[in-house]
Formats: sequence, structure tokens, C-alpha cells
Amino acid sequence: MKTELDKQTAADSPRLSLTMAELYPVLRETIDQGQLFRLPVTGTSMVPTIQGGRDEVLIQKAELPLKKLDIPLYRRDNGQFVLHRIISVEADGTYCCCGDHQWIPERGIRADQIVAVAAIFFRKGKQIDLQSAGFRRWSRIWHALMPVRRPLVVIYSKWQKLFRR
Amino acid sequence: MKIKSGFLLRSIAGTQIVVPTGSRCREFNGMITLNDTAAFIWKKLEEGAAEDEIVSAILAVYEDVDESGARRSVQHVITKLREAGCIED
Repeated sequence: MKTELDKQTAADSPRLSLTMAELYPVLRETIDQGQLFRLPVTGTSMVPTIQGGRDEVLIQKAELPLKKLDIPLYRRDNGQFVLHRIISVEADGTYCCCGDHQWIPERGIRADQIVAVAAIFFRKGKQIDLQSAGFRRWSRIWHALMPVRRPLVVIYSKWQKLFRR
Repeated sequence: MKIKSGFLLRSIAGTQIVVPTGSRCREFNGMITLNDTAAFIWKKLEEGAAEDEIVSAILAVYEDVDESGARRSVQHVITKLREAGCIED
């Protein structure tokens, strides 16, 4: 008889071959009970705020309507799950979202597509409350810099490469 | 000895997986995958069963194992879960 048991963290995400669609029922169950759910981050669309393979996010039930600069997890109509920032709330109640690493907004996100909202980040292992004054200040500054985001993102990635061990 | 509160064992896509929920996920990073035997032991621990009880339960359910093998498995799983911080005494 063999017992196998393995703990995996965000840094192992390539090994953790679960897709979001597979994880969704557990996520839904937890969120609906009003509990936090821990999600490893994948991809780079929210850099420099959070980075795939390094950081994790705690999500919770979304109190609608969401506000500008909130960071919801939503499901695109093609089934993809995305964690991006709301950059404006439209007159018809839909949301316009954009990753912190991106400059082309995604319009028309409906309330029924919202799965949850980010509450806490684990960035480089450090816990960051999204409601904290510091994080809100960071959100406002990064949002205000959106017109020049493209060159900023290029500089940031060069900086990272330069100081990579 | 039992499993700390706030852990959820679910079967996802044929894999038994444990995720932290609520305040537990502030301190526990990642998730745990278990095979069927390990998941069986997990459930017994959740019920508050002691090592001897779990060994007997395994012997009652699994036919291809003797007592020493079952005990080794139980101890192995308990050690690993303790390392991962899932067990409180």
C-alpha cells in the first residue's frame, strides 16, 4: 500500500496541473460560505502589483456593485478566469477592466461574470491588505500613470532583469 | 491529535485535494494533493481517530495490506501533515 501526499505552493504552479475550471466548485463553495479562498497567481498581466508563480491572492465574495480600482476575479464568456483591476464603472453598470501590466482596457464586464474580489495579496510572501491606506495609495498612483504605463512597464521589466540573481 | 479547522478535502478531477479556507488561508500557503489512502487517513483524522483506530479501519477496508504496512502508512501521513502544519494536538 502506498500513501502519497504532497504539499504544493504557488511556486510549484507548473506542477499543480489543476485548471481554474477544476478548482471552481471548491472555490465557489468556499466563497459562498463567506470564507476567504487562496489562489495561486499565474501570468504576468498584474505585474508589478502581483506576479504569477511567486504571489498568491486571497479572494472573497464580491459585494456588488464593485468600485473603481477593485480587483475582481471574473469569468470571460469563453470560460477563461481573469483577475484584473476595474478602471471604470460604466453608466450601464458594466465594468471596464485592465491588468496592471496592460494598457488596453477590456470593456463590458457584467455583474454576473464576477466570481469574487481580491481581499489580500501575498506578495513575495508578505501579506498586503487591499483595503490598507498603503495599497490604496499604490492603486491610485499606478492608475494615474496609466497614460505612460507602456514605457513604465518596459523600464520595470528591464530593471528586474538587471537585478536578477 | 486532529486536523486543524478550516481545511477542506475535495475530489477535483480525480485528485483528492486539500485547500485552506477562511482565516486558515492567511497562514497556509498552497494546497495538498493526496492519493486515496492518504485521503482515507485524512478523513479518519478529521473525525478525531487515534493512530490505532485508523490502522484498524485501514485493515477493515483494504485487503492487500498487513498491520505493519498500514501503521507505516498512517505514521507517514501524520508526519507529513504535521510538517505541513495541518495537525494540532
